[in-house]
Amino acid sequence: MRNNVLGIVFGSNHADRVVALTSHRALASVPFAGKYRLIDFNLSNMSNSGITNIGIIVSKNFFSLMDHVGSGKSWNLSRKNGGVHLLPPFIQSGEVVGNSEIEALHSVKRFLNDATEDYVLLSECGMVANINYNDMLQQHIDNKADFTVMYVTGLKSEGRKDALSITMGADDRIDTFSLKSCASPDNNIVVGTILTNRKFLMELVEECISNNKLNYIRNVFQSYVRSYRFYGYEFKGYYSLISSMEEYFDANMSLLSRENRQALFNSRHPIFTKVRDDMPSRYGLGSSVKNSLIAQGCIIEGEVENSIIAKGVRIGKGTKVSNCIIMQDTKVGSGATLNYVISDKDVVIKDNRALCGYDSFPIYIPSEKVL
Amino acid sequence: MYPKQTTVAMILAGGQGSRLGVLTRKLAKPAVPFGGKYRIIDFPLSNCVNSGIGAVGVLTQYQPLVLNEYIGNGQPWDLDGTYDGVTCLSPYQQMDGAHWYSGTANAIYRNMNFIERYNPEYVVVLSGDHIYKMDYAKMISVHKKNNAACTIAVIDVPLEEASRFGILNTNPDGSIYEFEEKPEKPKSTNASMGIYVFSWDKLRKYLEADAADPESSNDFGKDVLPAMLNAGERMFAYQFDGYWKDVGTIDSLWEANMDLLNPNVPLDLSGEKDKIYSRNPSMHPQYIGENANIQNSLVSDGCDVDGNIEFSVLFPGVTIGTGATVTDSILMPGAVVEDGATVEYAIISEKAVIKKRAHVGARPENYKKDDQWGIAVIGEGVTIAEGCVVAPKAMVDTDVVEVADNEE
Repeated sequence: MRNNVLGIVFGSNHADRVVALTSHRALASVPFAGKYRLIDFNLSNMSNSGITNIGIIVSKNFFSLMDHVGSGKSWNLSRKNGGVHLLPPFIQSGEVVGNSEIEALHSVKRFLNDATEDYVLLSECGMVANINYNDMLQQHIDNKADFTVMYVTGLKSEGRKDALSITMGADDRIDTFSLKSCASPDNNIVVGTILTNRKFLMELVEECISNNKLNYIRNVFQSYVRSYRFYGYEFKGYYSLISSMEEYFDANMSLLSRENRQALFNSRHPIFTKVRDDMPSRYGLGSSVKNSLIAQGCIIEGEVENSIIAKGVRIGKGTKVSNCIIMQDTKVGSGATLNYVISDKDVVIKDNRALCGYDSFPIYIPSEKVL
Repeated sequence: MYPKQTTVAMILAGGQGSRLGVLTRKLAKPAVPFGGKYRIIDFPLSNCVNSGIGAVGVLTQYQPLVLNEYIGNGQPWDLDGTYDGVTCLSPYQQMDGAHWYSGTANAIYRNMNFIERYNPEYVVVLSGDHIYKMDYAKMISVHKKNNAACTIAVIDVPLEEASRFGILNTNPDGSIYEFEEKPEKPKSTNASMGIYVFSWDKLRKYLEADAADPESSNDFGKDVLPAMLNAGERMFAYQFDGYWKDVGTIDSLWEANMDLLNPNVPLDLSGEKDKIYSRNPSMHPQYIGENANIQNSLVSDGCDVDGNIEFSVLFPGVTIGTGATVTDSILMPGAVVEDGATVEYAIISEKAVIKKRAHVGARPENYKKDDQWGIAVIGEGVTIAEGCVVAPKAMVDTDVVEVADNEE
């Protein structure tokens, strides 16, 4: 059922978090778990929550994202009313394309203005979770909040960059926003999902632009923390946050746990993606696969363990792949050995090659490389 | 006004497929799952699209719900055009009363208005229950070159099997002089594949004549094609030399699935070219556990395997428990084989559950008499209770709750 919330996804922000993976694509279209792109989680969660009018703000490198999202059909978002809209930079005379969220929102003010929804859900890519936003919406309405900010606790990663943490006052309203260089598990970490009111947001963006206050963490959250009604909403389910290659690697590997898979892939709230017409994966005679996630269209003749193998991958005879993330259509010949390797799309690894990274430093192979 | 389409394809998908037993209890034969993620109808539909045919009618009659829902607006096959695409054609009430499709020719006759709106030159009539990849465009160009009224695709079968098929006897130039339905002493090995190309003006004439004949059984093979031959129309055989299988029986359905595991069988579904399209469910990638051992098998999205799998085909969302053994079997979407259970030479239908330590089917080498052995089939949603034994060749459509006497 359609609800009263407009969805905005920041498709291009934070590409610097996983630089290697975003050299030719937006963070939103970074491949994940063998068959998904990071934006699948934003779009599926919105679609499952009844948010069916969605704009994706992109600034550069958005070709692969356009290709992936298409008409939005895969997420049940190909709608006569609403649906999913890719919002590339629209430069009017005298304007400059900026990188901040405030500028991004300003650049789509027409889209915000034309919408009829009362609420806006602002969502960054890089959080992997299965979320129903309706609880958050209800809390937002009950609190008469200006902003409801989703947060999580228990973040294990010490390597997380730009962790924004919040503390709540006695009245449950947010007291402080602080940027930490290093997050500890008891911190309330903001995950980049914020619910606000559409008209209020438009006025605020206009005001920020005219006063050149472009950093919304410093100029909005921190400056106005007690003047506007900021509330926190804790997401308590399974999640991964991706702000570095280490987190990206761990987030993929965490899905080898059945418990995590069941939490993320719920058949009543499915995670949708654009599915390619691959045949089922074929396991050859003499192959050995243990504790791995394998997408469709693969032909596996060698050994695979503790790995994520994406669609259309070939693993040749006598090859041993362990603790690896192999992205789509990568071809690994025979007799090769790969350990702690992240291989991007369409890589060719010839016979008898040996590559060995380490737990804390997986080797990354850019797309279309031939080894 | 619909733009002209040179060719319209009509897929006969109304058959009950009674020889598939419990597999077609709730769905038409073309909707039976095949090959780990497909349904049988994906093959003719994808062949149409890959041959450049954009206007397709699917004639449905028996249990059409699953088939209609599956085909939907045709988008997975790129058959959702504004002025063409796929249309499901069910029997409907007409001025002369309400009739079911009385035969294959009658089904086309009753939908002549569907064909006419495209004003085609050629009509391709296909079966919805064959597994093969074929470029119909090549066949149509041969039809054109021969200036034929009808062209029938044939495949060379072994002489000893020829008496199971409809055999076409041809002159050296490929023109047909005789049809023989399941002949005892076949004169040739050209078996009809049930794929016909007609020039529409000719077909329309013979369909109308056939409909006016009260003696006719309104069947292409029995009535319309012989009538055309007797009238001296130009009819040609078109030799096809790829893989083709009629999956009308449990054995042939099982064999065709197993053929996908055989690298020597010329049916390649892995290529980029001439893909077989299907409606894809949203499921996570398959998870293969610590204790799994998978040999020469096909496994689809959403599966969770921790047992031993050999020479088997697993559809989306199948669960195989720790220590379970599955060999030479087909597990349809959502089937569950619990810890320690054994499944051999069996077809397990959608969402059926084989509980712990149960045993379904048996290997043929353990049976001296051939007639006692066969593929075991478990119907949709059926549960086989803990420790129960299901004999080979059994066809089970109700839950098995008690441990049967072991007759071995």
